[in-house]
Amino acid sequence: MANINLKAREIEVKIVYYGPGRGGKTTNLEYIFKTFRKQVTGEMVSTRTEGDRTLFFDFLPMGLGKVKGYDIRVQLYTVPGQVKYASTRKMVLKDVDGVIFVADSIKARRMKNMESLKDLHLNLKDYGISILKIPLVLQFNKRDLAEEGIPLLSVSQMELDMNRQLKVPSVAASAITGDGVGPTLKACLKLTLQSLKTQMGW
Amino acid sequence: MGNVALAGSLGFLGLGDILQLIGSSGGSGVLQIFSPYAHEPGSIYFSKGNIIHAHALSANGLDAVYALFGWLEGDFEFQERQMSVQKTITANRMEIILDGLRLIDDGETKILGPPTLEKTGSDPMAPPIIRRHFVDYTYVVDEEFYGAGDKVTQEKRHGNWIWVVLDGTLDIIKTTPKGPLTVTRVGPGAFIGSVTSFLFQENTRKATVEAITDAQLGILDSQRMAHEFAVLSNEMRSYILNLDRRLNQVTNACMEQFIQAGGGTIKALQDKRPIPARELQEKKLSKIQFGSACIVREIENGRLLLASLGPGDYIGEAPFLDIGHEPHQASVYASGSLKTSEVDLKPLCEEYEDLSLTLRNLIENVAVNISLTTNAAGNFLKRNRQKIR
Repeated sequence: MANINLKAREIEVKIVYYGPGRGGKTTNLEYIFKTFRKQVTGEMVSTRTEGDRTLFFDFLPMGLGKVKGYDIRVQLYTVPGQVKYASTRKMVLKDVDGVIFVADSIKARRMKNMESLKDLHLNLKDYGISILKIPLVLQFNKRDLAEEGIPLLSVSQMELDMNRQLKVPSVAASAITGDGVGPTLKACLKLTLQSLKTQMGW
Repeated sequence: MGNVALAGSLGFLGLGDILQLIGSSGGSGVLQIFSPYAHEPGSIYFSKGNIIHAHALSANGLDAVYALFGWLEGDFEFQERQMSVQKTITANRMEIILDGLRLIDDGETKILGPPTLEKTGSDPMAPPIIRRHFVDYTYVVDEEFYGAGDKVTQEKRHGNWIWVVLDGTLDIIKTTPKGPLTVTRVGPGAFIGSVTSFLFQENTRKATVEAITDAQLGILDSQRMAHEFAVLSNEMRSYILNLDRRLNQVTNACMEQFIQAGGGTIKALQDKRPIPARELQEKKLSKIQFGSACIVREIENGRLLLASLGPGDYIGEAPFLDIGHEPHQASVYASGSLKTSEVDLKPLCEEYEDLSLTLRNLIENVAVNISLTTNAAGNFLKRNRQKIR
């Protein structure tokens, strides 16, 4: 459930990027940070967790308008997947409002994607959240690598692997060029706000 | 002094969450963290929601904030006021939180907890010290002053008084054939005296208490506490008295190790088998109806018999206490005939919550004592084994 900051008259929405290591979560966040620089209110915070970086920043997206007179502040996080980062993960996943799962399109990473998705399911469950209920968007990242002749999973294969039961929106993307990064976040924000409206009875 | 704007338990709200909460409400003031394992509170200073300074024990600045992430148990209190401290921290709040948590996960920040057996302190043979961050004045009816070297109680003499240490340090001493043994050392907030004082019968002192520095003690209203104790449920009373029994057994184990009478094979275990750890659930308390059991701590080079239990005794611990024994830090060996019944914890927990602060502190004091005395006994066992080799 989102945090409502009465002093600042803001609703803080927490979106978490999850996915296998080196799948492009950080690149997604960095792209958003650069592109929407004017809307970002603080600096980007990063902490070096083993094999992966954990990032955070928050911003006030334009065009979302106000809800009941409140601005929407979006907090974006990536979360370290390794088992040992339990306290970090707990803090990040606590009260999460929406999740973006960044999957790696490289063929060799197929199992890693599925393992990480299962991991997300279990981690959310620990905090009493169902993966079927939380606003979730899949991103099939690194589509650009096809041009370099790296064997990729087809989008339909990835849909079959990961989205057969979830049936959530999915976006093909290339975080390094920025393709699909905005639409992924937008799709997730849309779902998240819808879900918040239902939760709060607006 | 400012006003307390926010206070609570770290078990419910972790430091990461507290920092975010104060940050997002733009508070200015000081956050104090009280741990039962630190003799003074840690402090984090805020100006308009930003962290500007901190200190915790010997650490200052950012290092202190990171160290405080390791204080998982205890309470916090945020007082709102204008801050005029020197700014030593400029890092972003979220960066501090994420780094603080990462350092915990990477094992770089030490978790503050009870002294453990395997840790090598400066002198492992030194008596453990019991003190609390919080001195409880609620039931104090009179104060007494003792000079260094004065005896407060004498072992085997009669007496029913219970004291809380307000200031100074005192030794709890047992007489052994090998001379006096300081079992534990107590400081501010700790209690002297036992729950058996409430039984309205001749109560003999189990140890000599001697002030090693000038000490100020508060005499507690034991009549009032005895009355409070008397109206408790049977189960609660019997559990509390059982804790005291467990403490006595552990103290004896410690003395045996001190005079080196223990060791070798433990006879009491010969007809018993260990209960597999998975059957000893956390937060479960059972009462022995029939048969017997032993509580044993397995140490790398030996076993330490902590307690021998029979009908009426309890196995496990209530969720509100940590005595540092079974199921995690000690094994249970049971006779073939052992029969137990499970204690309904819900009413017990509710009753505990309703106890007066002083009575709860006194009971916790027994639990801490059990845990620390057990560690001391373990250290003696280790020393004995090293000598044999």
